[in-house]
Amino acid sequence: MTGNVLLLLEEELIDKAGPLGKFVLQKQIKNMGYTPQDFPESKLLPLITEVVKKAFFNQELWPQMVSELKRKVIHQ
Amino acid sequence: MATGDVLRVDKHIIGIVTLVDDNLFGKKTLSNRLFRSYVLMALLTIIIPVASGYLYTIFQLPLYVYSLMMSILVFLVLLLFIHSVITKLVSPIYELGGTLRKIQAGNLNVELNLAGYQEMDRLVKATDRLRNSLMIAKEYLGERESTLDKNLMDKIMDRDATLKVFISYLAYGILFMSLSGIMYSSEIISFFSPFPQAWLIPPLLVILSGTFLALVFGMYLTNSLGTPLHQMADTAEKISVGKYDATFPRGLKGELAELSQHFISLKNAMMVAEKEMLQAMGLDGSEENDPLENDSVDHGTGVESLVEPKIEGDASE
Repeated sequence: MTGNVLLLLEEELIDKAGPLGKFVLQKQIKNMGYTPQDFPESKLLPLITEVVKKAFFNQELWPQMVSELKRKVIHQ
Repeated sequence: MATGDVLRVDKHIIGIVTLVDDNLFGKKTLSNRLFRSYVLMALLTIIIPVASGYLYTIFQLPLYVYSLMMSILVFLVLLLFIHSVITKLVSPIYELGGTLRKIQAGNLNVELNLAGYQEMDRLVKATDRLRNSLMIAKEYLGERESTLDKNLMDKIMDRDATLKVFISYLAYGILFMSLSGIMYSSEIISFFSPFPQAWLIPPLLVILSGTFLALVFGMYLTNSLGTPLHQMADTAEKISVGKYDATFPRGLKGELAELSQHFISLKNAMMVAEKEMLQAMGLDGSEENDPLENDSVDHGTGVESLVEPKIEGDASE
């Protein structure tokens, strides 16, 4: 279940931040002490927040991006 | 750098515009706009001979007066359309070329503006994604001080598309005026004079021939500019989401060839950056070397390969 959500998140990140967005995601999952396979659903929101901060350089975009990714990924 | 800290890629990066346009695909394509432009031009140039034919029946002035009047009006309409097509449809191609050159020079703080038609907006969005990814790479792999491809920087973009638009519209205008001149010749008018409503026949012939010519030239411009640009947008879009095996259409000329070369350079840089990122972030199983977590890391690692991509581009394209 979380695997699919992460895949969706990766696709969204690539679409918005370009092809290197997926590495930021992978790195953040690793930093949080998980692998994509065992990533808990409860940690999705912190993951999205951190990934957005590291993948987008315009701080003004962060709230918009977080809410958009939340809407598309968590509340799918 | 602690998690959650503000990322400082470079001091000029503040205020960068990232494009998010969900309504992109509701926009008109270049072909659609070119076709509409020609149809509108044909309609406007139709009004002129009809009006002059009608005036001829009322005032009975010499034919050359109407011919001159029509020529001036057709010429003004042509100029209006050439100006409109070049500023609205062709100029964004040059602007994007300039932006890509700046990105290649390492200036990621460039402003990207949507052009207003589908293909160019897709190219701009693709550029925005690549630019954002290069910023990520820059943060992880260090500062890029040189250009990606210095040779490209020195190139001056050909004005191939402008020339095509100009020649196409001008040829249309000349042919249209020649046909109108023939239809309004005294021989043709006297030939049709026995028919009822004879004044309508020459304008109708001009209308038919003008519409046919508009179709021919509209198709030419669409094939030479619209279709390659559409294919380019497809390829750039694929590259911008990491599908690096996508290739640009063959036989591109002028600024379209130039644009594709810029994208190929960025694609090569991205391929190298991805490889370096895997190593730098420890995602390839090697020792972790993440500058975001450790500020003392040597940012020089991998920069050379990002600056001077060694992967061969699709030069033949």
